[in-house]
Amino acid sequence: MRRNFVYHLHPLKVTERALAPTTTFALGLVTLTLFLTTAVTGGLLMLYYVPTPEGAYASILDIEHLVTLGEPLRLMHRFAAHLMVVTVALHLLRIVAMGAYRCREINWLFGLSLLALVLALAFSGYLLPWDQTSYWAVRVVTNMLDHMPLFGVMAKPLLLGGSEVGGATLLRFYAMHVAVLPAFLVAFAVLHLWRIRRDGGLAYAGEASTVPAWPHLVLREGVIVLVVVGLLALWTLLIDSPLAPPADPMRPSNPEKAPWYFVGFQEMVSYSAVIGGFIFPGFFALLLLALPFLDRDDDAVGGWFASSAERLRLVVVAALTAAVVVAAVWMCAHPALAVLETWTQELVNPVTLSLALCLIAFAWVSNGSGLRSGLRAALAVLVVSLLVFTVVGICRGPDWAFFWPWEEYPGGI
Amino acid sequence: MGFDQVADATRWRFGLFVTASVVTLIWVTMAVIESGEPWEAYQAELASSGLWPRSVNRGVLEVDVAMGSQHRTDRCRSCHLGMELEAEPGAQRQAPHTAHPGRLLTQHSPEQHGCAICHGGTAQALEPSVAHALVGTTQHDPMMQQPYVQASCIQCHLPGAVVGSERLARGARLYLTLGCGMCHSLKADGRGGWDYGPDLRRMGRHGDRYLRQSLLDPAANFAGTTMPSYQSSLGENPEILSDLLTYLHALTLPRLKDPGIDGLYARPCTTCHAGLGGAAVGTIRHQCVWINEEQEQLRCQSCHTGELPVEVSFAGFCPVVREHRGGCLACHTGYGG
Repeated sequence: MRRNFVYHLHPLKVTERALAPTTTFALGLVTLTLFLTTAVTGGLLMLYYVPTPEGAYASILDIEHLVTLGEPLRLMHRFAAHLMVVTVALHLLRIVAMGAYRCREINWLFGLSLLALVLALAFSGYLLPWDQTSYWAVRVVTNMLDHMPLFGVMAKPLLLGGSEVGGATLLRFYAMHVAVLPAFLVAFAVLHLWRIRRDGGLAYAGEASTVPAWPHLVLREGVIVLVVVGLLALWTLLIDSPLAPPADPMRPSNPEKAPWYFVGFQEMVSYSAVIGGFIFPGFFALLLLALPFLDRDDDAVGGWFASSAERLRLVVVAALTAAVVVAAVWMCAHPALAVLETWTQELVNPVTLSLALCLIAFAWVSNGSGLRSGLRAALAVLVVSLLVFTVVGICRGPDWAFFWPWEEYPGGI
Repeated sequence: MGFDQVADATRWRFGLFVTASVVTLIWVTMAVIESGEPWEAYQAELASSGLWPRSVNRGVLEVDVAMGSQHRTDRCRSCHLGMELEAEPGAQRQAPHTAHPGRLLTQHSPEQHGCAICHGGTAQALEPSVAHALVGTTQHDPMMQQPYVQASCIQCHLPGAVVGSERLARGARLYLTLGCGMCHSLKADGRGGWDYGPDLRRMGRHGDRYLRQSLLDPAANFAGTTMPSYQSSLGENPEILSDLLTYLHALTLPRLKDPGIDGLYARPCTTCHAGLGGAAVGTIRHQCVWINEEQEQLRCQSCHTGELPVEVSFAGFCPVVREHRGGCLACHTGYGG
């Protein structure tokens, strides 16, 4: 049993197809490398970090300024964590685009758990510097839990260790960040790798000839790991990420912003708390969870899209979604719409529009190209809307007004 | 299929070799660049100029300062040790090695108090850009530079009570004469003032630019505010504006030491304000800037340059009266009766 497990973590033979760079873009391996980097750098950071409201900020300053190579250590940890969110999401999109979740339902669910764990790890780490940015970001995100019936109301005090973000929250987040979540992540990552082998390697419906993993796969893996580690070091040389002022619960930062991977949801909540903070994310999560069970088609698994007609439809859907959501966001800022009643705004807003688009796209594409394409179209609408909301959210300034990233905020606050 | 196993293995072995070399080069470069600290270069500079005292060890020089509510690790001296060395006439030293102006360091030992206690900044940092966060950038602690550095005196001294805090004293007086306290409160300060405007103890944190704008063009920050513009009284004279801003910045700072307010005000006003009563100023050497400068003028006229208000009970809202607590009622009989 133990042998079975260990021998299945890495293949002895791979298909020639799996070696082609455009098959996987090595997104899984890149994510794994980034995780190992955060584990090593995080372990070193733990030697110096103090998880108390009084000591946290000072200990980060010590890491930055006193510890030998402490600054690149922190930057590398931070950048790898942010990048991991991106690569994990891209990896998921790749699996969807290839229909590779078919006959791999369990591993798909392991993968979704890993996505949730990566987000939770990134978010719990976000609080640890205890500066204004992190403090108010965590307040914003945990306040969004208020909009989730039952679960959110119960989870919030459990998560915060009180009604507001404070010392208890910092300690909880630290324990989650350094012990609980990494343990789960390692467990699920190992299961994820093991299931790939158990399921017969990369999903592919066609025939493919195999070659030995050594040297063909292992050398490629070595190069990719080195490139990732090299880029991280290069990043610490090129880009600095200075701390904000120390956290001050008496002085809200304006704007209070969620971390970039949650700012899209914050933007949606700004239109409608219930629809943006509960219905949209809930629907998105349910659709992802149910995907391999809804799509029962085992043909054409493992290729990029079924046909050029399908690809055309998906491109049209994505482009239309982007255009419509951008237009809707732009119109919401128009003063003429301020006359609408509050309940009207709760129902008629860019978020409900994108949910409606999701259903329309599903109906249109599944009618033409089948159920799988319809599901892909529905997901495309949700992903593109979330992207638009995220970009708009990143551009929000004081009082949630829109500013381009290169514009300066007025008033010197 | 055209998969040539031998060629593929050779190609990727070479690829791995090249990548490993490049990545090693990047890591070594990073380690070399990032391990050099500015203070090392500055200490080397000072040592080579022959000014470095032999008694001082090299390395990060830090002071743990614990006063009142404040506790900080002060590492400023790691770069600024030249501050403590006498300025030799004729020779101009470059920053950060310049000597500290005046004779303040003889009474405020940097070895004991550090530098940030007066100058602010992020004293724990050893990177100039972080350590020197300036007033108005709202980054870290505001760095108290000229012209505002006297604001820091308020942490241990009454405004004007010590020589060298003249600007702070002028600012405090402007605060009274302009009547800021008529609308704004300084609640946590134990002082009076109305609650009509925001608590001024916290406004200084918004930064220099914001404060300036609030004084000269209040509507720019708060549309529809009833606060008048002080463009005519402050905008014309940058010196006067700096005086007031120094005091406003001072209001945000904590009190690290009890300057003995209660003991001071428990005495009859005439103890200090000799011009109003019996004892003559100058019989003892007063350090108080206010008394030395104003002597006889420290009366209603010091605030009310024009006609006095008809309602005598108005004096009850006068921040001067409130600031001096009960002791002043002895003088301001109109209210006390």
